[in-house]
Amino acid sequence: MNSAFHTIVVSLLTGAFAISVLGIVLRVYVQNWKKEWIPTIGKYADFMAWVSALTGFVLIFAALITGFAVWPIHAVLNSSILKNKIFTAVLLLIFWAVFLVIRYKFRERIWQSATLSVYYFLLGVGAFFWGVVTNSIGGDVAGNSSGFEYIVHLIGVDTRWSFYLPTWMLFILVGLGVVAAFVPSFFRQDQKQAPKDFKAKEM
Amino acid sequence: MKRMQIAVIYVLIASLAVGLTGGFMSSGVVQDDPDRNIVIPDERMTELKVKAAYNGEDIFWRFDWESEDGFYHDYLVYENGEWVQHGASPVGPDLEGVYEDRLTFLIDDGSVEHFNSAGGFLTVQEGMRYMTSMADAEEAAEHVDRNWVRKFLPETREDPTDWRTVKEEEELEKLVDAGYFLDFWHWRAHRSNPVGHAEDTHLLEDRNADTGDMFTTNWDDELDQPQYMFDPDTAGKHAMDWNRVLARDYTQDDYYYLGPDNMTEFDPDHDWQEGDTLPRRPLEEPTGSRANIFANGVWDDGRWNLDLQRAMDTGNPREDKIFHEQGKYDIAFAIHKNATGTRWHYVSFPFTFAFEREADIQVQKFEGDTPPWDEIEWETFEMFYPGQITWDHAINPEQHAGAEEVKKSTPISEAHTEEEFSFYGIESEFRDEILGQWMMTMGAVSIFVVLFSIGVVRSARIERRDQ
Repeated sequence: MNSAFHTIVVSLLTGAFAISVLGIVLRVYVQNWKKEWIPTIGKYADFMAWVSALTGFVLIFAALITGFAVWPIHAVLNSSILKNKIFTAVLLLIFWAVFLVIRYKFRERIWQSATLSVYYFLLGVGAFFWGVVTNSIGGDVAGNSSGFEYIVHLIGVDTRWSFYLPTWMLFILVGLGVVAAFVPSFFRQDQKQAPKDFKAKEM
Repeated sequence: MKRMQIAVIYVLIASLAVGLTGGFMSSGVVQDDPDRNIVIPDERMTELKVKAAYNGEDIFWRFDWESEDGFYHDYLVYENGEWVQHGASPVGPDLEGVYEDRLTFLIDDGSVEHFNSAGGFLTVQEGMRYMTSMADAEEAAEHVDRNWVRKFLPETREDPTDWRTVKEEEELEKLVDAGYFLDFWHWRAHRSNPVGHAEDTHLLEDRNADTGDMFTTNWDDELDQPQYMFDPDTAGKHAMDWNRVLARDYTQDDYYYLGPDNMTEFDPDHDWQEGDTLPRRPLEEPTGSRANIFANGVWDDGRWNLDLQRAMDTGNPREDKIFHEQGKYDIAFAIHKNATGTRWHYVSFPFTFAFEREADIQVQKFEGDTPPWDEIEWETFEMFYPGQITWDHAINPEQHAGAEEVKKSTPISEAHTEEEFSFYGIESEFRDEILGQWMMTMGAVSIFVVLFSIGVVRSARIERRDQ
């Protein structure tokens, strides 16, 4: 397959995510500074963010398919930079998946919770910029590095080495995830006293 | 209040995860593994400065690079009544530091396909000495008359990626007729420099010395003793002292080598003392085409300064590339330093040099015998440790995403930088291990993001309680 197809799909999904981020930013603005616009512009912006993110999410799969059609899997797995591209793309997929799941479960009620709305906003904006890093690594593969991939150098990661961690570090990372998941349990009493109306199923 | 506490906890967890991930990313796999012939050098890259001139008869090169005092090489040391060899081509550096520095380069005139785009990588194949896939000694001896396989050009094999399939002598001769060989200049800090030469060799089905002599081995198999020792009348000593060698006490002004001017036949009746040391590679007065290149290398204050000179037309077109005015040629450099041999070197991408034409290195014309070096600008080239990247890997689309570009002779520098290659070279030695760790890391990072998000969503209820 001509690599142009992959480039087109990546451009489409980046555009979709850009629209999504625009919607989120607009909604945050309305939510905090133009509350009278919430039923109109706020609602539509939120819907726009949701639909665009869903479109971009589906297009990530299309990008993975076209990407693997351009380069044989073994060639990809032998290249540190292509492996890093896959790594960042998978993480991008996870970010947007979480974004969409949260939106699916809580819908517009996300904006009633400071915790959720902040996390939703950060996820959307963060995932968009992570997408830029991903695309930039892709540009590096094509010999047109934009330089955005060097953002990860700020945390000491060099994109020219394959992304991998020592095994003991993987356990720590998963352990940190488990701790993060159970942090609310340490506040169980508070959780039990919380109003039922925030449970997603009952909303 | 609870909401703030939880927010702080999540910020801490996220910061810890990001910090640890950044701090330990790409670590834990790359490490020395001598059993697989893997020793990773401390430095991934180095620099080589080059300038060149010609006077119509000869071409002159001047080089400058950083290095330790690498003019010690391969000694026989008298220990417990026996002569024991110290210094050999080991896996990685020689730990006693007695392996010479070298500066080498390959030159082509356009006859060898892909050399102008891939440089020395064209000559690297699986099975070569000290690759992880190093050929079995017996099998190597069967096919290449030596216990190990050295670099070679692909078209010298029936199967260009299989070192075993050497073509018949007649076919090799026809390749040479067609100019299909690389001129291989080989400056050695110990085995050639003291006699004012670089070794002139060429690359075809193997690295072949040009016709002539330069050095031999200081060992008499029949008598089981060295053949030569220092001549006390000219050298002022019978032998060097091993402790002084280890202390790097001999300078270039001392006799650290055996040469035509300072050696004599070995005297077994001499009262040899523990630690007496004789060079194992006595130098001969260079002869023939092998002696075409004159050299003067001076090590000073942590740097080599080297001058080379050769006739533009040596009269040996089957062993040397002949240079012409208005000619343009391809060249790729390599440096061995830090007491290393074989594949533990630093290499450059291929570049061009030309006489009165545009090129990466402009060979400047001058009148007289000595180039006006001060008037010629240095060109600086990045050199990198190449790891175990083979030609077979580079041209195989199943292994290398850019294989088609390599086959089209797209210059390596259009797709990669030297610094990138310094990373790829090292990773090439751990492909399988890195792949497994990469997959596990992708899984662990994904699990972390999902669990973290679950936690944040769960904590949203506590926020409601707070309110």
